[in-house]
Amino acid sequence: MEKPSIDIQYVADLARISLNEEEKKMFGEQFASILGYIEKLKEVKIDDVVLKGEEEGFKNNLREDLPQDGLATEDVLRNAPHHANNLFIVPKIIE
Amino acid sequence: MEYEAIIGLEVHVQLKTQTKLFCGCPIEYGALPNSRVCPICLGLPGALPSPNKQAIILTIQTGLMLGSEIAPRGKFDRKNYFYPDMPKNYQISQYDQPLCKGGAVQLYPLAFPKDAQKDPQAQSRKKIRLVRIHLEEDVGKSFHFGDYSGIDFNRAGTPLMEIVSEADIRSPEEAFAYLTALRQILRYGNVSDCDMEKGQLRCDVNVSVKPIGEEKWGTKCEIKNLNSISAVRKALKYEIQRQIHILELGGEISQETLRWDDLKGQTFPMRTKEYAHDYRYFPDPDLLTILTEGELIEEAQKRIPELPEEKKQRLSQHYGLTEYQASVLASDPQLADFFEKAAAQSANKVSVANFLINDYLAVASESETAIPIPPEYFSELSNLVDQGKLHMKQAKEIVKLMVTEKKSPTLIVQEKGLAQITSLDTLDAICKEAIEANPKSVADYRSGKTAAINAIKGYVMKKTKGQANPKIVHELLEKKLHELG
Amino acid sequence: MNLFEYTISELRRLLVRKELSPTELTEALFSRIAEVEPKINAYNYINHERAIERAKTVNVDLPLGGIPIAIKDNINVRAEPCRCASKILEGYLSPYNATVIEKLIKAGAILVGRTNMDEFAMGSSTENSATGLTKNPWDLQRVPGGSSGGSAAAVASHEAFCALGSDTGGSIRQPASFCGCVGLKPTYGRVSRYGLTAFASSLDQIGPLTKTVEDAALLLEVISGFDPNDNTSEKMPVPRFSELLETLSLKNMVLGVPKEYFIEGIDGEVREAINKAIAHFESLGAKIEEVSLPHTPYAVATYYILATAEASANLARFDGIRYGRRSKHYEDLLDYYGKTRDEGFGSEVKRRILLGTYVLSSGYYDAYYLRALKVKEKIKQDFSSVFKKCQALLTPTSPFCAFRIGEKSNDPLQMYLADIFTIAVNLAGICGLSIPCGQSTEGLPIGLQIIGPAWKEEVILALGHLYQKSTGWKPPIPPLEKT
Ligand SMILES: [Mg+2]
Ligand SMILES: [Zn+2]
Repeated sequence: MEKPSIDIQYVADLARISLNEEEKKMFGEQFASILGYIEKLKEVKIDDVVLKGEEEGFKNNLREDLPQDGLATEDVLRNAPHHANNLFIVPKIIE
Repeated sequence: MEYEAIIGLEVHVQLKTQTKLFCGCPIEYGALPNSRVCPICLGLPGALPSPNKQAIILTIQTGLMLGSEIAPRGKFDRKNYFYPDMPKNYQISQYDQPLCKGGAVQLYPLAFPKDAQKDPQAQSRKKIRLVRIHLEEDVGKSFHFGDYSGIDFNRAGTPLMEIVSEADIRSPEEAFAYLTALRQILRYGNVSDCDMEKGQLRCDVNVSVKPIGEEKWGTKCEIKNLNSISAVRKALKYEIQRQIHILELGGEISQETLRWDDLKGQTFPMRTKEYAHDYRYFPDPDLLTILTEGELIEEAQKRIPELPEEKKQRLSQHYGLTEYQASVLASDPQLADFFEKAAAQSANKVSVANFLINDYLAVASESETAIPIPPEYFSELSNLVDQGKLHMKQAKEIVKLMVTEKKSPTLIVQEKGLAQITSLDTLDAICKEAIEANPKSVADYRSGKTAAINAIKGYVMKKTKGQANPKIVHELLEKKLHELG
Repeated sequence: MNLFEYTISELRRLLVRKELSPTELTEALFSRIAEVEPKINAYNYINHERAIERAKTVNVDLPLGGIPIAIKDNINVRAEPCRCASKILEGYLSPYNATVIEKLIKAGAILVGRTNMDEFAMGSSTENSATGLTKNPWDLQRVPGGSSGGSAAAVASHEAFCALGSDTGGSIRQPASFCGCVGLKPTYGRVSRYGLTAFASSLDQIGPLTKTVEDAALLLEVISGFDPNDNTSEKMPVPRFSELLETLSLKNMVLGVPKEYFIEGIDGEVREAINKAIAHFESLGAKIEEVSLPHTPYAVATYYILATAEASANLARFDGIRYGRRSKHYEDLLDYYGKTRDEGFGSEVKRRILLGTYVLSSGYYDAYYLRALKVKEKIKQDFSSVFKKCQALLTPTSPFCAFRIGEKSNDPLQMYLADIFTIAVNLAGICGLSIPCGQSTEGLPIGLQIIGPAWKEEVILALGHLYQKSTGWKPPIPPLEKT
């Protein structure tokens, strides 16, 4: 069976993970074997499956539009690697 | 060669809910940065979304008002992309099962910009079809400083309705009319205030041009994040000309995402590094499907108000207004409500309508959503005129003062001493003086030139700084002149 | 008998009768931790002071009044770290409590500390931890299983009376089996996930790890129930599990033995121990029937598509903007994301994020994700049809006993296959219990998995309890030696 190939660089860019060459090579090889294994799902006959999305007797579970207290500002900012004037600071966003 | 434009709009409308789409944080414009956030809208590890029933009902209601088909099942999906203003780095949106499909917005003449209301396109009552309406969460707000940016997540998670039109729009004026008509319905339904200064109605525009008669559409460009109806018109005007200009020079349009600079009056390509738009949509496993049939649709149905056309008919019949007056008032449900409240307490309903349309609206700014004074001011004003305590010219001045100074007309009249002089004793004395001071005009009058009375009247008005009631003065003078024999 | 050896039920009696104070109990546990922890490394964080403060004031009449409990490092506790054994959450202090934590506090439990795990619950050995690996109390050169390896090792070595873990593909049951304790994966929707750092939202469930089935029932009772903050939690009544333990009659009970779970490659001693356990149930009066779950061979592949796809989105929020560790060297925003996430995540986490990103990427959705959703449906149907004729299923929890540290860490696919018997339960959304059922000749615990239909935890708990009672189960004290 032909081994599926995967464009590691494209996927890593989408996932926002910088990979070095070594990692790219390693993941590339591992994915080939994992995806090869996953290929076996093609054996399963699935034409008769209808994905309904809910169980019998399902009822909506929705929230009423009533305000609740949020977090205190100190709790909001405590974990931020960088904040100033109550804002989370990030490298310049270019539009 | 003649060109035509093909335009489609994606409108994001902030729904009128108290809390965010997936958490109980209150929606509050202008609060201290990051003071209206919780683990959910801040995307903390472990936090889960909990959908707001009201937001779903409002979306269904919008669909019903616009004639969309309501999906029996609503489903939320994750749209994956990284952006600093997006807490989870995915947006909860709806992909293949939007709450509403189809529907249309009908254009009407008054929805067009004032300078285009006489054009044939404004008279055509065209329908702009909709592709879909779906519900999604808003992102935070970014502020840009030197070499860094700052993020406020107060807005993150605010419910937005995305209304996607077919590419049925053919001119910037039609785009303007579409947005105006859409806003009218949303405000009618109390679905959104559509306050553009607060970013409650934002718009992405797709536009391409092609020579008239050509089948194939041109390459389209997208102008992102326009935040006023007039900016949409201006940006489209500019962009259409830009594209035509390129084609006329034999060039090619490159597919681009653009940004509108309102100050420079130009579109610019966005500088964002072009990344593949591979959003990897998949059903959000944290959220169950929503069954719209039953409670939700029934509730949405209950909230559908009297729509613009019905309101117009009723206003004109019940208050004796002209069709023009009724349609101006009906163009905005808040304005119509305001009028009805003011008219209820005034003797002359038509004069209330005239003050509102000719005097108030003429000076109100486009972005103003609510009239900043109570309706009683207009009833008072119209009653003052009706009782002869003010004359029309003064009343018109008072409308401006009412709005700028937020004072009742009675108070303004008192403060400025503007009330008309109606006291017969006072006027009698002044008229007597006037007759004595204008022997020539009196002689003319008596010789049959009755128009000479106006000169004598002018003297009275000048003497009273215009405050004398002209009707009473006229009668007094006539009487006195006749008495002279 | 040392205090640390007691079960929750035994301690409850002592506490209520005031023969023991919560403070004494908590201190006794901390001295056991001080003694054993250096060998095991089950905990990522211990809050001695806070636990003692709480012990002083806790009401012992509450359902878990005065009982110390250990919490897996991926469940949020206010003002405590919630590191998920990751570098990217270094220094993070959670500002809120998970729903299960609120429930535990209301029930009078005393939170002791946070247990080690595979980073973001991704793994089957607790080797993928940024805080160092945890050792199996039965053989310090072996893994405790994972991802809730810290919780299982802590309970097995009596460093905890009970613990919470999370189970996405076997992460409670498999380590319970490796360490010789009891682990329960409740029905999907039984326990609120609010505050559990998500790995795969459609599969994750929090559940108890305990010394006995009786204790698991007690703990499940406290943490279960509908939660408006978790849209996927269900409005199902919560039975009094602990009171239903003795009510079971095996007389009309049919227990299924799925033939696909006795495959080639299953360890001989494991097979033997499971067969013995099955025979034991038969001797107690149950009818044993071979059944078939034909889609079992596809469970692992299905799981690795669905779980990684969901994980790729769930872990996107770790970007070092609002919280967590941020890379120090970057050129611009894009570089900043890439480096922060490259430096912050371990290999296994990166591997799964990348795999999940790939299966969802343009052009592959139908071939992978949609297909996997449909196979998942088939697996679900397999179970519903066998549960028409039997009340529960008996299988091994794992095809083998605890493996050596490093033995599988270089071959992800082999590691994934360690979960071959536990994954289908998560895909079907049903419940499963692992209980000790013997030892290998090397002295390593073997786990029996009892699988029940959705919302039938009382059945599998009663079966497990019956097994432990009828075999005279006493939680053993592991040697804590290298072998
Ligand atoms: Mg959108
Ligand atoms: Zn919030």
